[in-house]
Amino acid sequence: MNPEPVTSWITSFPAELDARDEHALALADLHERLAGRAPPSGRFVRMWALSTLPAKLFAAYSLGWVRARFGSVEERERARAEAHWQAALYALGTMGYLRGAVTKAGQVLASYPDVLPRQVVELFATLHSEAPPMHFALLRELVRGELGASPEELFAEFEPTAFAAASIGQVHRARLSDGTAVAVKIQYPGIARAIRADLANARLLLLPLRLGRDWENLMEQLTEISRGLEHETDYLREALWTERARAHLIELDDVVVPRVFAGRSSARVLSTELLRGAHLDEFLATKPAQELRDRHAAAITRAGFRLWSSQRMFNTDPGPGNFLFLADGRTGLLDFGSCREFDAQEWELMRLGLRASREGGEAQRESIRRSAQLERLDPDSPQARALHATCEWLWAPLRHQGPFDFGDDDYLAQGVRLFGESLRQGHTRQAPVFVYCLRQFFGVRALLWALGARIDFRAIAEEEYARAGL
Amino acid sequence: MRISEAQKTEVRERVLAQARLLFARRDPARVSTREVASAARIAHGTLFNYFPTQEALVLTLLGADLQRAHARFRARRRAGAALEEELFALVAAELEELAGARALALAALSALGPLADAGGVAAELRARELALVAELCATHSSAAPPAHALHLYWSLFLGVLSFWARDASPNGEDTLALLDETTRLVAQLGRGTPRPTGAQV
Ligand SMILES: Nc1ncnc2c1ncn2[C@@H]1O[C@H](COP(=O)(O)OP(=O)(O)OP(=O)(O)O)[C@@H](O)[C@H]1O
Repeated sequence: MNPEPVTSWITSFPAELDARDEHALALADLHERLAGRAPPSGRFVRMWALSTLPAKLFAAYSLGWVRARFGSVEERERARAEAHWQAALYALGTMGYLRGAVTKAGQVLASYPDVLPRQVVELFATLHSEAPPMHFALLRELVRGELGASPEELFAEFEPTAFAAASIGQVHRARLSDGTAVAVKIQYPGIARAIRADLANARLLLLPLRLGRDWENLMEQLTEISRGLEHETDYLREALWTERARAHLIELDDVVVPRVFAGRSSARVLSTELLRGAHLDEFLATKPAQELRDRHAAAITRAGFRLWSSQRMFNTDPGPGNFLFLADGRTGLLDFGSCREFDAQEWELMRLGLRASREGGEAQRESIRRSAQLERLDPDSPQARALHATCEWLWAPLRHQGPFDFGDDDYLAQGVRLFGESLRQGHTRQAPVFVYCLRQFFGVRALLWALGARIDFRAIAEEEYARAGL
Repeated sequence: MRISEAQKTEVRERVLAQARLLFARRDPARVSTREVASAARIAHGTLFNYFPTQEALVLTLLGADLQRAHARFRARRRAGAALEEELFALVAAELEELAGARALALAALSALGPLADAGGVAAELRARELALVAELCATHSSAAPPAHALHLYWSLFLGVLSFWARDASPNGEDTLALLDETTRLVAQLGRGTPRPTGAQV
């Protein structure tokens, strides 16, 4: 990987903070106090720790973002904002074990491939598989602590070596006494608490900064990200969502959601039915026929719309690792840990979006204005034009009669360009729920693109809407 | 009056059993030898024939726990486990055995540190632990472990024990993380891994 552009970004940071600046002093003070915390114990927590490279990349990225946001204001003002932002991130980097949080944030940002340099995207993509494996003796103690009995007692067989890495743990094959094959996901010791502490500290540090006009909104979005990260550490929550999804997708013949074994699960251990299938890259390596790819794509699409319309529920993190392509042509859906349900207000926004996608015109203008949380939006402003273009792109498959070609490179590239542009123009203000909606939309579009899917997206969506009376 | 060996053993066991009960209910530091003697129905003076100090009593109990833990560890040894895993499993078995005896372990700690007397129960206990560690190292390496590795193991072992005795984290997860770190370090030394160049003295 060529480090050039990244390095030049980093070196373009403004120099030291102005020590007379009151914000800087407050920040330094806070940093001082936080630095007095006991050092983290355990390599898992240290793995979590912000290693300097991703921290700097993230800082560099955010700096670009800050610059864009303050592009029009006075030079001095902008320099100040930049200095604060940099100081905050620097402080986060040195005090915390935020690597995981940054990694996750990075993965979110990586959903906008054109905005981040290619290298950064690749780096983020590789980050989460780095954690060192836990040996069986450690797993045994973790399981005993969580479930009150050792793996030997709980399972008829338990493979001591993990077969897959999870973002903050690892996954083992095992077998229940009745012969059922299961996947047991076990979390690293202390990691959930480290994440929670880091998020709290991040908030403390960022709070005094108040970066200009959209600051409140930015904080709301950060809250949303924090909430999501915290949820992902709670396997009991994941178990509940998995069961809920399973109950509502069980009628779909082409979709499998693994059963959860509640008696073998806790907040840090999750036992689910083992699905045998290929990950996306392995599946694609077999050069599957168009028909088979479409079948998977249709199953994924229908499952998504079913949960969305009947349960107001959606998976905020549709990474490719969460889909398994089974030999019998069905699709396995894994990892409901980052599922989320719309509240009444958000759902109203979603309904409005749905109407807008069908009708366009006034409904679309209204939907965009409210989603951007603006009192009014001049339809001829650059922001309105950018948002409309983005919506047109997003809703194109919903408005298209017959099979839509998701494999069209131009279509994906256009979406990437639109998102990138609106970010660069500083149109980051949005209802917090969109932090994840966009991540989900993009995640799924990228997946369908990789599958080269040609499916009647609109027909599937309308069938599912109708089923739910929408 | 002379008493037989069998009688001696019986009294000794009774004292230990009563002491264990008392130590489980109250901080061992607050239990007097007089109380132990009276619970075991022997004269206060007689107790000293068996255990010269309260410390000896505490260490003997701890030693028995550790020996049971060693047996449990041996029964559970997993073929193919690396040295770090074996060391981890050893201490984990010990902590499992001591789960109900945190106060006892804490009370024993001061008697086990580097300033402890060279002889007596403490030395025995230490020697047993280190012999087992040396045996484990030897099965994973062609050479015997360097002496400093064993010495370091002992210091770290006491450190883990005192951390564990006060660990309030959920399910003692912080202890597990610390133990993982510790046993990796010792395993590296125990294998006789050469020092990185530049660090030679
Ligand atoms: N029930 C299962 N059957 C088969 N494989 C599974 C199962 N559960 C987990 N896995 C494997 O473990 C990997 C990680 O699991 P999972 O996605 O649940 O972890 P995670 O912590 O949510 O990771 P990430 O955040 O990276 O998605 C999956 O990609 C898959 O390969």
